Amino acid sequence: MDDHPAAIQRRRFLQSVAVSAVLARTLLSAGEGGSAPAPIKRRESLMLEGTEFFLTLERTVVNVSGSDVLATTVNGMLPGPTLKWREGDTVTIHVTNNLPVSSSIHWHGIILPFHMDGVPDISFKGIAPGETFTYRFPVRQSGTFWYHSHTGFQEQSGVHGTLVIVPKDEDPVVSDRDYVVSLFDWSDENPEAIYRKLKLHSDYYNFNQRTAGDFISEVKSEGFWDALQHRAMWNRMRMSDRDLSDVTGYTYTYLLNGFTEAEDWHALFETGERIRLRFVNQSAMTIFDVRIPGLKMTVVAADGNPVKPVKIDEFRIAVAETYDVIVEPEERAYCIFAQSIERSGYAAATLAPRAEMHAARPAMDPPQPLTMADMGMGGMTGEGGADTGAMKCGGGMQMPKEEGKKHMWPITPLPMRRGVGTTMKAANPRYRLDDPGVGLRENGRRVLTYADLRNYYSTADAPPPDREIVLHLTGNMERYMWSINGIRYADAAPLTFHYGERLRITFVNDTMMIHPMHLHGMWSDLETGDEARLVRKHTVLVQPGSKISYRVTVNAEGAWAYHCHMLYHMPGMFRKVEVLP
Amino acid sequence: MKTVPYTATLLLAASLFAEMNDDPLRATLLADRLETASGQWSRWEHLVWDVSAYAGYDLDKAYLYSEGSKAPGESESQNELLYSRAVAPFWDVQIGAEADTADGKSVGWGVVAFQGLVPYYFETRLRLMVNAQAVALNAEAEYEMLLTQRLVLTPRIELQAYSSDVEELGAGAGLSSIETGLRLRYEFIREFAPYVGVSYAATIGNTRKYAPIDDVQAVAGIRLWF
Repeated sequence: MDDHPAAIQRRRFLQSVAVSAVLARTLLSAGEGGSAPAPIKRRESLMLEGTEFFLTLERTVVNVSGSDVLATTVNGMLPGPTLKWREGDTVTIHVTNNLPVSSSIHWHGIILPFHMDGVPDISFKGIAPGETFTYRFPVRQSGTFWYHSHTGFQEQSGVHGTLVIVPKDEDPVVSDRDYVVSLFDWSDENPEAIYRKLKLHSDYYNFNQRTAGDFISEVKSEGFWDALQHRAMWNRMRMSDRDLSDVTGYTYTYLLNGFTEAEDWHALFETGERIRLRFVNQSAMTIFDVRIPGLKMTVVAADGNPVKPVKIDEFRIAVAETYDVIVEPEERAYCIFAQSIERSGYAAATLAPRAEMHAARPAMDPPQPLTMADMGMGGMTGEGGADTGAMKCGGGMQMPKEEGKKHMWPITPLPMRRGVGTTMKAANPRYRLDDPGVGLRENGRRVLTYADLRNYYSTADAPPPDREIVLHLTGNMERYMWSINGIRYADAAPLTFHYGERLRITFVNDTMMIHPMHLHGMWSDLETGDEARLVRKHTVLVQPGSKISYRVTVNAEGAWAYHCHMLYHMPGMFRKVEVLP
Repeated sequence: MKTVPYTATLLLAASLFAEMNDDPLRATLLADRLETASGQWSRWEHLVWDVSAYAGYDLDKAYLYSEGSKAPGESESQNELLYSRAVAPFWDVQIGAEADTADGKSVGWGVVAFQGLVPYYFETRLRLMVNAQAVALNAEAEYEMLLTQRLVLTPRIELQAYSSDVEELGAGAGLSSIETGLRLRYEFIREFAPYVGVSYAATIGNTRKYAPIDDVQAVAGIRLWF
């Protein structure tokens, strides 16, 4: 063996050339997503239980609508595995990123140290390709929650799953059987392509627009002059009362626990059992109206937290909300039916005593147009004759007690901008807690509203607010720009909360869309009409043109995300919250 | 495992971007009118186009417009390159340059334009052109009436006026031309819609000494964008 120094030099040089050649190839292929492991095949969604979990973010081949496409999944499952935790345990979750790009997992609605919250650039730097990040935190709550990627639009392409947390003490909810029912809007389109289309033509996916025929039938029912005036109001504002969802069944296939309506997932039971159904809306953009025809549902928890039981026929579930219901079915098959708010499609499954049974699907309801109240104009009974009467709610409006009274606490002013990015200002925004919302008004069924919700536990001890902030939800549908107080996230200063304070937050929705607003790290104690029973939520649906208020006890240090959970609104309609001592 | 053409599927479904940018760069091209008129359908010798393209962001865009017609022995076009800035919820202000051609001659202009949506959903564009010779004005408006979710009736009108004669373009001082049309398109997908329609074009006043036009024509074409 020639050990001449030059030979060693040469060998080292060759080695380093080889290394850099490998490196160059890796870098080259990383650009093509080739350095990441090859895509895997979709696996059946499972439940994992324990205190230590190993999750892998994978590119996965799925076939939802007849063609093979790539999804981004957790452990190859769509939805990802349901994780079952126990209150009081400390859980450890190792998340390995096999995607060719950075990723993250956010534990939605979980109260934890902020660096475990999984929001890139706020809690941590994200999980780089090939890296493993270990989440570790004590579980201090129980109920139904969920998790999802907080990176880019990965939630839309499959990174999401359910969390079921068993209480340490006795569960106030008694049931014989327990099913997760996750709802999701799958698209074969790449989410960036969807977003681009919305930016170019915001009505791209809306195939429920007003036509000439609609006007003719309105003339028949209202008379020419009234119909014309009715139209004129909307036309002058350059807004559409048929604009219910930005993205629809035109591109979406609605999934229930990962199954299409045709695949027909089954929840089996034995007659006489009390079944707990844990509904979780894991969609990117779809608000669902859920019912089980022929069966009353008793709502027992909202966003994981127990509420006073309320018996209903139907409920609306916004993106990121969760509702637990109890049903007591008889010896027959029922359809679990979740229609999208704009009625362009539905997710459905069968609840039956036997696997071979199939429940017939009900017909979808016709879509209802938005009313002037949804525009923050007029009241509940159609002031100014502008309303079509769709808003008559019988009794008086339920509203928080302070409404109409002088505020007992100061309102902290915040910067506000009106301009290119804001088309509408709700002239007369109202608390509409007992309004079931567009599409569910006066449908003859008992529909859950926020006014029905009461915390299972007393909140009488909670201190009154120290101060209040008002956040306007703003946007320009035509240009597809979304913001808070007219300022998009990229241009906004963080919101400052003070550790230990009790804060009241009021939203005013200056848009025609529903926005499910999600505050990370702290509970949103929703005012639904009873000060002593504030409802503990993590995601609050704000109806178009309305206002709504909740209290937050600022008991979490660090920096937190605060945003609309409509995935394509989120990049703009977002704030960083900094909790200062 | 079934082999999947991953390079193709990469473009679908999976979000392989880590950024959450609310205002990504985008580029798009719209051929609002790409048509031929009656009498020449079989030969495609008469062609009318009205194309716009932009690249940019929510507020700032670079825009290209090209509108014109070609027929045996005659051709005309108006071509603009502009910077476009959103100044109000429904309005953009644009500034740039334009080159107009007519039968081989060309004329340059500086341009200021306003583009937007007026109440009642009329898409409008008003453009002021200036050069050493003259000042010119072009106004166009278009309305989309949905007969069904995919069948769209589009009336449009376009007017052109000049402060003085512009001989190279065969344009006379005053209101020089009007073009109105009614087109019925069917959107197979949003991006692709063949249409049929009728268009009326006329020259007016002083312009008639260069070219007395008064034409009603049936038209057929496609509207597409990507």
